Amino acid sequence: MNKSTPEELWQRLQQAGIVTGDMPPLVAVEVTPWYVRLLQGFTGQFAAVFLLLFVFSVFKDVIKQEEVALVLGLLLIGAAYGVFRVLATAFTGQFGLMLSFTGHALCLFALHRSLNDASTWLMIAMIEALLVWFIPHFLHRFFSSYAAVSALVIASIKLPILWLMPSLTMLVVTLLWLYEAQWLTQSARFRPVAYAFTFVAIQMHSTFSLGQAAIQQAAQGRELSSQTWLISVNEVLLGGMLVLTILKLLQRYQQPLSSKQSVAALIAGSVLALMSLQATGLAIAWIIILLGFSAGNRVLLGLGMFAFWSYLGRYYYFLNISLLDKSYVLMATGVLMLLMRQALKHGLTAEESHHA
Amino acid sequence: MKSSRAKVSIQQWTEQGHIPPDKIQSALQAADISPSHHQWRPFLDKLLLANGGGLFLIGVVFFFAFNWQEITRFHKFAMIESLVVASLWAYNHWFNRPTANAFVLAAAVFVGVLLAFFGQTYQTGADTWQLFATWAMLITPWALLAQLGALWLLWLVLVNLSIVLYYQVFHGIFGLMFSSSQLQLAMFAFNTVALLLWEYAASRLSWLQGRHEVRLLAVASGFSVTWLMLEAISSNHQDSYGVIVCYPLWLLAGYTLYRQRIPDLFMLAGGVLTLIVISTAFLGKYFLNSHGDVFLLLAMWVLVWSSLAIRWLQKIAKEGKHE
Repeated sequence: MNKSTPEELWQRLQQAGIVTGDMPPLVAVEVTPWYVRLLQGFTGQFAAVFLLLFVFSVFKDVIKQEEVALVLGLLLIGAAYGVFRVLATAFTGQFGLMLSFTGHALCLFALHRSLNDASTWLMIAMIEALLVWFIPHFLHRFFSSYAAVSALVIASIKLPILWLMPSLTMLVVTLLWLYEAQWLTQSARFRPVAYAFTFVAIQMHSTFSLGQAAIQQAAQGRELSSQTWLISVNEVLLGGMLVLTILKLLQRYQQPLSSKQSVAALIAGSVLALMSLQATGLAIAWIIILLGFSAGNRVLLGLGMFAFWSYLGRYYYFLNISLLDKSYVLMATGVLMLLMRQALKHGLTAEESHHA
Repeated sequence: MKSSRAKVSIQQWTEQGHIPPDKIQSALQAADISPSHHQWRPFLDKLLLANGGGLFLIGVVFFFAFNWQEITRFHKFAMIESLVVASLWAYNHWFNRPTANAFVLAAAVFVGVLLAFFGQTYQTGADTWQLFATWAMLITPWALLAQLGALWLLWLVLVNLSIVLYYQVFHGIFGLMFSSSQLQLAMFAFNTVALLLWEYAASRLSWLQGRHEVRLLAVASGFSVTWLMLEAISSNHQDSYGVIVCYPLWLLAGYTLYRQRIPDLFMLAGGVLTLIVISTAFLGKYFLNSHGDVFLLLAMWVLVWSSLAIRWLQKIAKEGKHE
């Protein structure tokens, strides 16, 4: 990981022939660590709960009318947009979040009778997508993206595509992080979206991997699509995405696909993808780990590690195969990975002796 | 400069037209943000060892958790004990390699499997907390000798689990003697002492210098003391005065330690969060019988203090001393 000063960084880029001339001045930009963002999000929601309680206790007679609640909710979201646009300080950030979260809660309350209609969720997804585009705040974009994808999943609950949602979300995650360089200058807009999709992908597949009963419970009694055979297709697509990620990374490092290293990496990826058809969820974790390391992103890497261990924890409750079969799958995958490690070391030693 | 800051610099230079858009990926690699070809090997080596080892260990746990009829007790004991012995042999054999750590960690996990199987086979009548406490006790010498942060983390998790389970058992029988606050008090005392000892040891031992474990300990300690304070605010009992005195001291000690001696912004952010929660609860209790307007006051309170806290934390982050 990079530890140099901006001047040293400029010099390195000069040496690589990427930039020329003297270092131009940099605009001071605040880089907020993930745990400070977590604090922002938590306290923003905390304040919103109190504001909501205030609205419900003081205007209780008026707010019961759903139209009033909807209008007030939309007004609050509009006010949040105004606050975020006017000034970008810590206070306006928190104030905007509080207004918007309260507005969202009021809108959901107003729409609670029509939440069984797919069209309502589709409309929510579209509004959230617009908010992602227009509201210039990292956390708000994160929450709106999260809400948009979640609303889209709920909207598709009766459609066969529901069972492919984890792999479709993961496809977006993979493309976003693989092509980070393409949107780096638009980071303010794309980074929160990329993180939100990553969170949704981990969370959604975590529920899906527990089987139909768990999804039925998460759906709170709503009727689900009967095309459950697509669950296995979803797992195959996720495995394919792991191989595709490895392939794209090999291309990035200009490794000829016919080279020994490329073939070995693709075979290893395919074997792990096959194993993850049984040990569900592991492909997602490995994709995120690889993407995190390739992007030099420790938060993403940490999320991948978290996904790996949490999927293993949840695997115990996966009811589709017996505990004994699960133990065989895990031990076999573990041994395969350890053998891959040995092969990697052996390859390295052979390469070193060849160069000598 | 951290990777995130370097990435922002590259972003700005691209926006200013100094880096052509098609050269961003090369710039990220030249800046050491994206790993080089050679950095992948040690990473994959660690990943395959950690994940492969983890999968194998959990597979073994599942294997013995399965209700086997075909294998006799004797064979099962022999198998688990062989795994413990084999892991220790491998640890000793490859002692000088980094891989050795995985074997001592595996041996520590297999001891737990052995104890669980022992309890299941002989129906010893022991409580679950005793299993975890014995497990922690048995692996203590290895934790002392192995110089491995992950093994100490396992030890701390086991002790925490045994404390929770102990109070769960005795809460049922002596409900008046042990309340949830006593459990939290025990957890707070244990995790705070462990945190201080870890920080002290880390200043002297290079193998303890990772920050993840201390941060987990701080989260555990902070959760317990916040819980205790919330209970103290809601109950107003005389026996909670100790907590009311202890909490500001804990905050002050944390501030001194993590602002000056061991700069760690994560710890400061945690301290700020607990302070906001406690002060809001205190205000809420004070105005409990007021009208609904109090919720607006509480919302504003959280809003103002969280904004100030975030501004303060961002200012400290700019100093660049913190992790």
